[in-house]
Amino acid sequence: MGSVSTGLLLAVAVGLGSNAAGTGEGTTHRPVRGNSSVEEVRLQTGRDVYYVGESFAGLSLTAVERRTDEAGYVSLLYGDCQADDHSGCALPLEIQTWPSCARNLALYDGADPFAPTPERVLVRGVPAGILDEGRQVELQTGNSTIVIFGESRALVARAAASLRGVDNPARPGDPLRPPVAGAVEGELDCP
Amino acid sequence: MGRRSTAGALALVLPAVVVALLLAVPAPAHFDGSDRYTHGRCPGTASNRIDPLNVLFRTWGTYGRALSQTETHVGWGDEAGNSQYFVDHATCTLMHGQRASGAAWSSRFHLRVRGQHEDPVLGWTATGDAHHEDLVLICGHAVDANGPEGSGFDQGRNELRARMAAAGHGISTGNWWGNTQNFKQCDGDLAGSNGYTTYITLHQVNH
Repeated sequence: MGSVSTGLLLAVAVGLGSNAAGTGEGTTHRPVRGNSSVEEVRLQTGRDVYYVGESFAGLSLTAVERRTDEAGYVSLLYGDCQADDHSGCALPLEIQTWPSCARNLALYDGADPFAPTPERVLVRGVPAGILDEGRQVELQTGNSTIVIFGESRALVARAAASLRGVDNPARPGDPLRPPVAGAVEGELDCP
Repeated sequence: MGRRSTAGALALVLPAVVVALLLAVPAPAHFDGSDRYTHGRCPGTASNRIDPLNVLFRTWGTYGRALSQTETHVGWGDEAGNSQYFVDHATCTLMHGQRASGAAWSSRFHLRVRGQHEDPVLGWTATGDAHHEDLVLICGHAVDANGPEGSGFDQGRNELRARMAAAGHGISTGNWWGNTQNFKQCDGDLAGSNGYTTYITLHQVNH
């Protein structure tokens, strides 16, 4: 198996040298960049989107990403990390809001016995599933499914307790709106 | 006297040893899908995740067959790329191999593979992180960002699936694993799986 650092090869090829290459892996640190913004999310209609504010637990809101394919979610990401040639990296905290027609807890109840099985609980008064020993939590509220990924169980739990609306009046700690009928069961069709 | 004592002791100990050996038979092996990402090092943690897993080879899905049949039926034969780690039953281990559609200095499809536990239902299993990656001048390979056609992870899985299906392999789609966390790439863009994993049935005979 090879261990070629393409970035290093490229740096040499274009004459950048190790100093210009920056991080010692032949790559230059570039901050994370999303394809959307909080302002753009606020203007969208039809689905409530959630986040934990402009900063949380010492982490700044650094990117807003919208999936324009069938996944159709909006994601707000906090903090940053060092990605290199061939190696992406996970930001410390990410909060995705999906349409519940595309993502819901019933997806884990399918015929596939090899899919992960979330622990079913109530969080903020709504149905939720815990995965990855608490480093992934999914909550269903209204016609949205909120998915929180974090580097630790404690961070995810704090984020779940602090969720608030980007484009709706939900406040930290308050009970979330119950899911619409059929949302948790996966009975809704996406438009 | 000494011999008789030894024989007596053996008569007492042997049944206990046999029982102990029987009890020590390991529990039946099974596929473990609890960790759904590759990692940059061991131990595998949420902080050193790199790629989402999005392919499961099954039936005769040993890593050797996964690599061989990917090379033969998909046409991905290049072996260059960095190493990553997989977690199976809480044990973090180095991948077994990788195949790509082009050399390390090109944009290409790429797959890393790790053989996993045999399973009573799935048979031999291996998992992989199929993706399409662009060569970015400033930093090297970056998985294609999320876009109208999905991310580079979705594109890589779909390409592998289509070519394996065309070669007659059994394909199972719609397997929801929910591993949709985004990963920052070296150019700063974000890429994540749409959460679905393709199961590909491999045959016994390699090429």
